[in-house]
Amino acid sequence: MILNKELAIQTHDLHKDFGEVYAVRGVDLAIKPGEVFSLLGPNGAGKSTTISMISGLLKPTQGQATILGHSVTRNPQAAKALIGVVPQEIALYGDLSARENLLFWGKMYGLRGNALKQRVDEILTMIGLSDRQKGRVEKFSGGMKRRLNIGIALLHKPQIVIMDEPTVGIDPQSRRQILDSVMELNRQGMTVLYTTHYMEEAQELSEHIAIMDHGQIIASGTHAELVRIVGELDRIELTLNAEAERVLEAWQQVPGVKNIAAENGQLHLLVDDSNTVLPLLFESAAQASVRITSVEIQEPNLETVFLHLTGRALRD
Amino acid sequence: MKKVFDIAFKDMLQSFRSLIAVLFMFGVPLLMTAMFALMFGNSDGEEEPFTLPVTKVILVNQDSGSFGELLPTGAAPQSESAASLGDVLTLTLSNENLADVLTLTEMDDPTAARAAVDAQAAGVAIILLPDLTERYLAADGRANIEIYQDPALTIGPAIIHGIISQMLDGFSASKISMSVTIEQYAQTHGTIDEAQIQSIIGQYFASAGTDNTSAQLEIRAPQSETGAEARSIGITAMIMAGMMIFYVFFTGPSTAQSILREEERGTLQRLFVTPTPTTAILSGKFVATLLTIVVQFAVLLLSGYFIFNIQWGDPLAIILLCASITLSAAAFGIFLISWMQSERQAGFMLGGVVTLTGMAGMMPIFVLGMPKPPAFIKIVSLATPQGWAVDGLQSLMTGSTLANVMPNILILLLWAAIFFIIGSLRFRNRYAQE
Repeated sequence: MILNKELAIQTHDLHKDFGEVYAVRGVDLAIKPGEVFSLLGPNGAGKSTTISMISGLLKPTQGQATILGHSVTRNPQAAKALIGVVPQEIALYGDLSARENLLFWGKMYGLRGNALKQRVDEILTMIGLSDRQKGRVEKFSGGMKRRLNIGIALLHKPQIVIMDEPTVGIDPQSRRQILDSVMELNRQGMTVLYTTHYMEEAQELSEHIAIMDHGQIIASGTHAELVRIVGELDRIELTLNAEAERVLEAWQQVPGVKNIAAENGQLHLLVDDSNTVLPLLFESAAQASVRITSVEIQEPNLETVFLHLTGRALRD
Repeated sequence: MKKVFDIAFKDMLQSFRSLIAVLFMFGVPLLMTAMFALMFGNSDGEEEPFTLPVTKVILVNQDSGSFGELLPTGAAPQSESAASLGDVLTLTLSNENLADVLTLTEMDDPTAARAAVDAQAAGVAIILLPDLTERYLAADGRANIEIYQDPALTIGPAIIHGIISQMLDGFSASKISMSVTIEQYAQTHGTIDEAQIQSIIGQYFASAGTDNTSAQLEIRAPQSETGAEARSIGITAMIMAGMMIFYVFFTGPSTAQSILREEERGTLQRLFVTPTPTTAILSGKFVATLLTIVVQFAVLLLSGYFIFNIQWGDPLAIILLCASITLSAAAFGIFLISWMQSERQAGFMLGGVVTLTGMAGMMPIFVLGMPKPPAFIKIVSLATPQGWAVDGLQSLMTGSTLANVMPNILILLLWAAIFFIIGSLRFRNRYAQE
């Protein structure tokens, strides 16, 4: 591995095995300072395991990870001091108040005295919990807990923030607030490593995206570079009034169909040109006595890329 | 180092905010002790030593028999005043060594004696029939003594019954021995004359007479065997000591359980991604357990002193003993929790292990009323750290010195070292980056 101290996060040939389970297999990342980098992939793709290794929670079975040149295995304390981690699950002390939580976690990041109190006040303002700072966290709504969960990671003004699916299971309003806060942090100069299985979030937030599946990076680049992988293919989503199996085999033979995936009663197709392929699909369905109840044609996007590369929809 | 105390104080804050934890740490031990104090009286060793109730006994001695008439010349007991078995019993029960246990009143009328018991003016009436001595010395040797007792009483009548039985057993043994001796003497020497028989009989009855009754019953309060300065201790004090040890060893594992709780809630993993060494995090958990027990000990010791007037003993010795108990209980917690995989599992397992070892350790308290408890009780108790803790506290409360409880302190520290080494090694392996 050629160590590049200018990179915010660098991984080389990162592997993690849990016995016979190979969670991560040879992940290489190079994240520049000041960028928002998204790790996109379905559940179980290995995103959380990868960031657990980068943040020093898990020891890689093989390979290396560095934070601004500090090895997370050889110099973990220095590396950890540079990052703030927002875990996927809310990790707070419910029986303490929001302020008590922030004070405690601030101390864990080495803050003391007035500097700590001042920073806690700033964070409380930033996450909009100043008026609820003395309330016990267990009484907070899900959105408030999520914001506090993020606030803790920002206490020590880290150069890098690692966020592991911070928008899972929350309402659209809180989700919007979180996405806005990520962009705000980035504007302030922070590097953000963001994992998600929501294509729209990766597309909105990131300049660079790595798509992960089965423990490997299967594609990486800017949004435009990734979309270019699928070329001019159109993506069609169809809903049928019958089992997909009744038309699946016939449709795979239709000229222009490149890929078909069935999921949750929907069919996802990658085709050369939707204008020419769609009539053929309707005709084939009619012959099988199956009615197409809805059709949606999409421009190529990250979802299309994932379908093209894996043969599966991203939300599998 | 600061982070160790930050983690410890955060854990303590969480513990003391939990109503259930506070209830188990302070409320239950004090409540249990208060209940025992109400049941048995708030007796302190120095002011109100442990005593058995004094039983009022009425003796109706109608025995008109005489050893002199029924035995060959010179074979009757040598005591001038003990002419019959009834007289021997009267002398026995009048013995001043029994003054702490019974007060004896003599009456002539059996009916009046029974009526006094019915009216609860006396606890026991002993009625000796006119032919008692005669029947006792007859060939079949069957004589009846009527003991008429207040059914509401248990301990006093049982003691009276025991005294009479023990004395009659002594006479019966003498009778059997005498017969065997005469028979063997006749077989060995071929003949035996009347003078020799009288001599043997005289010796036996003399040995079974009134002079040996003082050794028949020993009644004593439970106390340590630490010498002349030993004090007796009240049951309330022993219950308080037992409860304190039981719940201190409960607090150890339940506070250390925060490791599992944090792991399940994700905060432990979050701690691991802060620039805080794993050793500091685990040390913080141990310090939290230690400090929580220190607070618990302090509150319970002071409550015992001020509320129940318990004299804990030599202050320096009690501090050192409690320090060793604290270390042992905290390490016990770390050790037990290191074997658990989840909070749910810990709940079930801890309840069982802590209750079992706690009960075993407190066994000497359960048999406090027994004059001679079985030896295995102490062996089982001392197989647990709780047993050494209870033993140490019990010793100090009865006036022992630091030197007397030094073995307890050293053994508790040894327990602490073993528990801590095994527990911390297991945690280090578990939380080494997987």
